[in-house]
This record gives sequence, structure tokens and C-alpha cells, in this order.
Amino acid sequence: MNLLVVEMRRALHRRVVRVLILMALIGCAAVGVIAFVDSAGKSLAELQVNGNHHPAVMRDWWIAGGGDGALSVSSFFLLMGGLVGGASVAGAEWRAGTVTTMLTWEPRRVRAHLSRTAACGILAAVIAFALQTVFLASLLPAALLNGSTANLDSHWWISLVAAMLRTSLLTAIGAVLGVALATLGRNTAFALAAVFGWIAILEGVIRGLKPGLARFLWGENMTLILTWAQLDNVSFRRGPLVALITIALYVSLIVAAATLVFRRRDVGSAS
Amino acid sequence: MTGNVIEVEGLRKEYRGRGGKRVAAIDNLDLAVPEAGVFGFLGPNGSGKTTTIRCLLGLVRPTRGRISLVGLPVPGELHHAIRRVGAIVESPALFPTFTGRENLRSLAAIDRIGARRVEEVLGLVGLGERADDLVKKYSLGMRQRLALGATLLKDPELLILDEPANGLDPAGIRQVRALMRQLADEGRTVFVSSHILAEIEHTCDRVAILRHGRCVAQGTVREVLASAGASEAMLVKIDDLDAGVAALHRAGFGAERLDGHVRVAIAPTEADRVTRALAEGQQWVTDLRPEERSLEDLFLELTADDAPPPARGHEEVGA
Repeated sequence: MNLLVVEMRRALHRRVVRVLILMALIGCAAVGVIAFVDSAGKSLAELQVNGNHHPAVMRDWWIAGGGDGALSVSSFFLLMGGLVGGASVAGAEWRAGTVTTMLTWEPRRVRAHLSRTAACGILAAVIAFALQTVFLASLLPAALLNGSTANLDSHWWISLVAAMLRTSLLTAIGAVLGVALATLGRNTAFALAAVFGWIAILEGVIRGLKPGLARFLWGENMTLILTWAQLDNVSFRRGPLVALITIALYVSLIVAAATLVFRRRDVGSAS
Repeated sequence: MTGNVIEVEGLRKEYRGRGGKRVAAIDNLDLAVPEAGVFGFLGPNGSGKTTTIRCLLGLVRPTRGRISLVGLPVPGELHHAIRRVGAIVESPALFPTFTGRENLRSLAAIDRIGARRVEEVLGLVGLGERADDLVKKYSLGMRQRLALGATLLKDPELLILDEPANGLDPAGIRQVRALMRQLADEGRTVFVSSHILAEIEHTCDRVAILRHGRCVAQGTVREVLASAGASEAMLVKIDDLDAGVAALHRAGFGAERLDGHVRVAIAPTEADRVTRALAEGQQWVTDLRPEERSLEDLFLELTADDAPPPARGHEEVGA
């Protein structure tokens, strides 16, 4: 427990984590201002012209079943933030040599590595939930003064909070993945290159050449978890729970590999 | 415990070099560090000092050999042993975005060490006034002192310090030396690797000298110097050095001027022949003594590339 708290404090002190949070806060403020200015003087019909969703209409913050709305936009950035943050926290440890320092205090490597991984995952989830709250709060002035707060039943609120929790979970997964990959490659760049290379390039190729395999891809499964509904325009049917299990399995395998490598490999070079 | 806080037997560490060839960084190393005192671990760059220290701390997995730390086997019981050991490995790696105090508190929290001990240690290493500055703003010397402070947090019985004087100014070096002595006088063991031999000679009770991953000498400083054999030369002080050298040459001695003395290549047991030869040349001796070898001389001799290879299963001097 001590180690977990220490790791969380250290992760929070990382400059990259603070910069990412600051950027997110600036982004929230900017979106809030844009939503307010854009919605000023418009009627509800004008805001929702051609069936578009507008963040000044609270009901449009989250469209249950379709995964649409302002909240879904924030999910992508949070997921990326979690990944970059997690990878940077682990990568910086190797760059600064503090891995050695920590191991002279806690030589049980599995314990040390899993503490760091868990710390990053928990922090990422908490930060993601807090940032989503700030993001939605920044849209409140536009909704209260220019838009609409109508049709908000309990079902919608539960659906919104559940979507926020799922986004927090995905952000945590991103952070855990970042830590694991940066531990495997012993630097931040390796982790980021591996993820972007896989998701942006390899998964695209697989999707094009073998559409039947798309159900096993990260992208499809992550989207399924976020929306918690069947995907449109795909040739397969897959439940969100199966998607969650699939992603959990992938992440567990990568974390296990990182833990094994961290346990076995020497720390430091010959001298 | 056997009285040795560090025991190493037949330690070997191989790395894969270029072309897959295996290179031994440590080769059949035996080491016994007794309890209490300062133990100097010497060797030129690349001799295997830091690799040995990394093996002791479980950072590097030995290819073979047995290690025990404070009587406990490594790596099996390292997590118990480490509670009684403070260590710095190579340059001090601290958390740059933490203040000095936060760094120590963060490490102390792992072992549930209280804030009072953190303050004590900050005072001990002279960082009390700069404790709230970020470590990234510290000089190398300050980082070194903070790292030293981190090793003291656990109130350890064994300190493993890898080049602790690196980056320190002369006052800092003196402070570290005094601190090491103080810690040893309190009954702790300080295992210190260094290449500043004058430091070791005046601070250490025992030394081990490493060359190409093997121990070439081990024991008290006096024992190690004695083991290399006495110097086959005498130093003579006389008023007229040139006349003295000439007189000694006439008597058939090899002699030369050296740092205000005449150095005569002769065993100390034959000192009377030197005084007689000088007296015959009307030169009167004011001082005559055997040439002493410093640890540095011995170190350079033992670690020179053309020095004979150490015997396998090196025997500890004076053990």
C-alpha cells in the first residue's frame, strides 16, 4: 500500500502529467467558450438543425446506444492522454535512472512494477473522471443560458455517468498499456511507437485485408466498450462485455510480459 | 552471521558482447567484508566494481557464484537484507521534480520511516536550508549529499557507496570522508568503491583491489602494502645532492635525485653501505629511510595492463 501511494505521488509530480492535465483544462475552457458563443441567440431548432447534436443541448452530451455526443469526443483525447502519461511516467524512470534507486528500497521487482502499473491506472481513471466532469461543467453556461436542459430523465443521467466511468476505465487501460510497453522498451518513445504503429497501421491493414478478424482488434473492442452497444457498419456482432473481456485479456498479457521482462532483465550496464 | 557483512564466492558475470561473444565483467571474484569499518573497493574503470555492487543489490543477475548480504543470501532474501542496507549506485538518481525533502520523504514512506528521521538526515548531510528546493536545481555535489542522506534514512548497518565523492568539491570530499569514518566508528560497515586512492588510504581500514573483474589484493591497507613486498630502494637526504649521487656512483650504486632526496637502488638491510660510501665522499647523511610505497603506487602496479594475471582462487592477504 505504501509503495502504491509513493508511486501515485511520484506519477503526479511528473511534468508530463501536469502538462497533460493543464492542456485538458485549457481545452475544456476553450470548448465551453466556443459552445457558448456558437449557441448565443439561436433557438433550439437552429441548434439541432439537420439532426445535429449541439453541446448547448444537455441531452446531446451523451446519446445512449449510439455513443455520440460531446462526451464521446473527450474520450479519444483522454485515452491518448492516459497512454502518453503512463508511457512517460515509466519511460522517465528509465531515463532518470530512478528505477535503480527504487530497487535499492524495494528489490521485489514484481511488486515494484505492479505497484507502479496500478498507481498509473488508478490515477488515470480518477483524473479522467474529474476532467470529464470539468468538461461537462464547462458546457453548462451554454446549456443553461442559450440551449436546453429538457428531457433529462434518470435513465439519461445513469447512462451519462456509466459512459464517464467507461471512459475512465479506457483511460486507465491506456495508462497501464503505456507503462507496460515503456517498461518493455525501457523508454517512452518505444511505447508510443508500438501503440500508434499497431493501431494506426497494422489494424488498418487487417481491417482492409481480413474484415473477419476486425472483431479481435483493439479499435473495435474499445469502441464497443465506450458505446456499450452494437457497432454500425461492421460485419460482425459482438457484445460489449465480450469486448471488455477481450481488452482485459490483451492488457493482462502485455502487463504479464512486461512484469516478466522487468523481473528478469538486468538493471544497469557493465562497468 | 559469520562476522562478514558481505560475502562473495566465485562470482562471475558475463555479458553478451559484439557478435554474441560472451565477455566476463567479473570473473571468479571472492570477497569478504568484515563487520564495522570502512572497506575500500578499488579498481580502474571497467574493472567490475559497479557490476559487483549491482550484483550485491540484486540489480544484475550473476552468471554464477554465491552472495550474501548482512548474513542473508542474495537474491533470495534480498528484500529482508535491504532493510539493513543503504546504497548509492553510480551517479545519484533522484526524482528531479521533487524537492530534497520530498525525495527523502517519498523513499522513507516505503519503509514507514518517520518525518523526524528525514529532518535528522537532512541536517546530517548539510541540506537543511536547501531541503525545499527542487532537486533539478541542485548541483551535482548537493545531489550526491542528498543521495548519501537517502542511504542513511534506514539507519543501516551496511552502507554501499559507489564513488560517493564524485562531483564534490574538496570541502565536500572532506565532509564525506569524515562522515564515512564517523559511521564506521559507530559500528557500521561502509563499503565504498573509489578511484581516489589517497581518500581510500586515509579513510579505509581494509581494501580490495580489482583488475579485469578479479580481486588481485585484499586485506588491511598495511597488509596489502606489505604483501607487495618492501621497496628495494632507500631515500637519503644530504646537503649536496649532486655530490652525493656522484659519490654513490663511484661506489657502484645506482642512484638518482628524487624530490629533494637521493634515491639509491639498494635493499634497506644494506643501509650501512650507503652511509659509508657517502662518508667517503665527504657527504653527511641527515636522513636515511626505506622508500615507502603508497597504495596508489601499488594500485597502479597491480592494475597495469602488463601486470601478471592474478592467480585463480586468490588468497586474501592477512585473512
